[in-house]
Amino acid sequence: MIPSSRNRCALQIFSYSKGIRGADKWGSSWFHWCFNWRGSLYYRSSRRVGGTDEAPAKLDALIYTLMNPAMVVNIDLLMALFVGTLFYLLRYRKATPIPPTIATQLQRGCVLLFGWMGSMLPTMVVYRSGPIYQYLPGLFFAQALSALSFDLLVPRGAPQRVGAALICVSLIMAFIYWSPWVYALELTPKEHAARRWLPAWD
Amino acid sequence: MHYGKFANWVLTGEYFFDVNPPFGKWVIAVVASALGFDPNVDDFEKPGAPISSSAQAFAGRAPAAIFGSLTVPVFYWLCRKLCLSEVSSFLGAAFILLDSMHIIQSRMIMVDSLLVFFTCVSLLCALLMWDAKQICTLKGMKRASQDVVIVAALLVTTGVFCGLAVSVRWTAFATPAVVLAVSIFGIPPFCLSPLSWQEVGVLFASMFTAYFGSFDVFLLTVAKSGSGNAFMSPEFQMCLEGSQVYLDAEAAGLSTECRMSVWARFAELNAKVSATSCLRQCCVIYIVFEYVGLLDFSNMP
Repeated sequence: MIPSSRNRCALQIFSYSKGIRGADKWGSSWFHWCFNWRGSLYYRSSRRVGGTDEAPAKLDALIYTLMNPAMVVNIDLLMALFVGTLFYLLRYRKATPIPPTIATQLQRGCVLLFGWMGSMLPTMVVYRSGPIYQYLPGLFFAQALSALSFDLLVPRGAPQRVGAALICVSLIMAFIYWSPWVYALELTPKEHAARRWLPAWD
Repeated sequence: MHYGKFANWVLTGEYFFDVNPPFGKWVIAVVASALGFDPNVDDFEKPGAPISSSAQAFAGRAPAAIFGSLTVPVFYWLCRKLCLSEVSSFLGAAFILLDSMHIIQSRMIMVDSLLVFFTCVSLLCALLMWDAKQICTLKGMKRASQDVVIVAALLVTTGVFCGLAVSVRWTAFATPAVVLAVSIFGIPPFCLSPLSWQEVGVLFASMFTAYFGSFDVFLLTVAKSGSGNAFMSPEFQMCLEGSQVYLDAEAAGLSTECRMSVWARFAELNAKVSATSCLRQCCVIYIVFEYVGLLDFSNMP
């Protein structure tokens, strides 16, 4: 027979803990990760470069962990297109039989999709939130699924080369624009503020 | 420089406790040491504090950079094994190459780039293994012994890398779960028919051996008293040279022999890691386990 005091203690701790969310200042909910909603500040330094005592001019250097915004947009779009294509082809499979090659790729994509969801499961069920770098295992599956979705939806040959080139240009441009937050390059506070495209990127 | 102090402790052999499994920290320490990292120079107490020399910073950060860099071609190869075109595979690799978060994690003394690398390699090995298995199945009686050896080697390799991925961080568990699910149920197009139970057994045993082996290597490496003593049971602390329990026994003229087997220490360390990781949400499970005596590892064979 379990002592009642232990029961009460266990129940109290359970009811206390079930509502707790992460104490990490830079944590965000798991569904925020998919949209690059909030990053993690790793490093900040500030240096005065002139100005007056009332309005000092300074340069700040940050290392702010954030996914490449262009990559996030492309991946989310490609994943959504994959899921939409899957639903459409399954829904109308009697009217429009699915070619075997496409069916094979859809099967591969479904496995990657389940891998992505499985990667998020510990955070969805247990941790509920965490810093964005905990999304990396899920991001790996998302990147693979996005590449597969691109291969599935864009015809091979010139269309794929053009599409991939456009996406790569967007990735490169976004990377260059936010590279000060990767390499801790000094910028004015105004330039840093211009890069905070979402309110939670603080 | 988050894991710098862990690397110091691994190289000086001092026991420490962390909410994540120890393999990633061990790899960082070993690779950094090979590149000239000195554990007695910087204490890494304050994140963002200057490092003593550029050579020390290079050696400390190189392991994450090496694994982060290697992930890109491995991911390209993985996309090709998913039967994607060269252009699509290049695009997939570009996602990793130009991801700011991946680059930042590869420039720090952190284990996340190792996590992604081992996840990537384990899935790639699984794809190679399923392909080899399909070739064996299609050849039927005409298969050569070489084909069987290749399948067996890839089974073990896949299991090992899956186990090592989980022993970097438990958040990598989805990859071994996918590999096991595809192998057990024979999910097309990866695996046209389920693997035999012997093959699944070899796969699972390889995973577990790699996971257990990583803890074993860690426990052998950090055999001295350190900052992690207080988290462990007195029996566990007896196995740490110089711990208070060890010194008290020595002063009293008692035996200082470590009576806990490596299995028991592995089990206790995993229980503590899981309890600490899930403490906020699952502490009631820990309390129940402790109450009914499931967390008493001192009598384990």
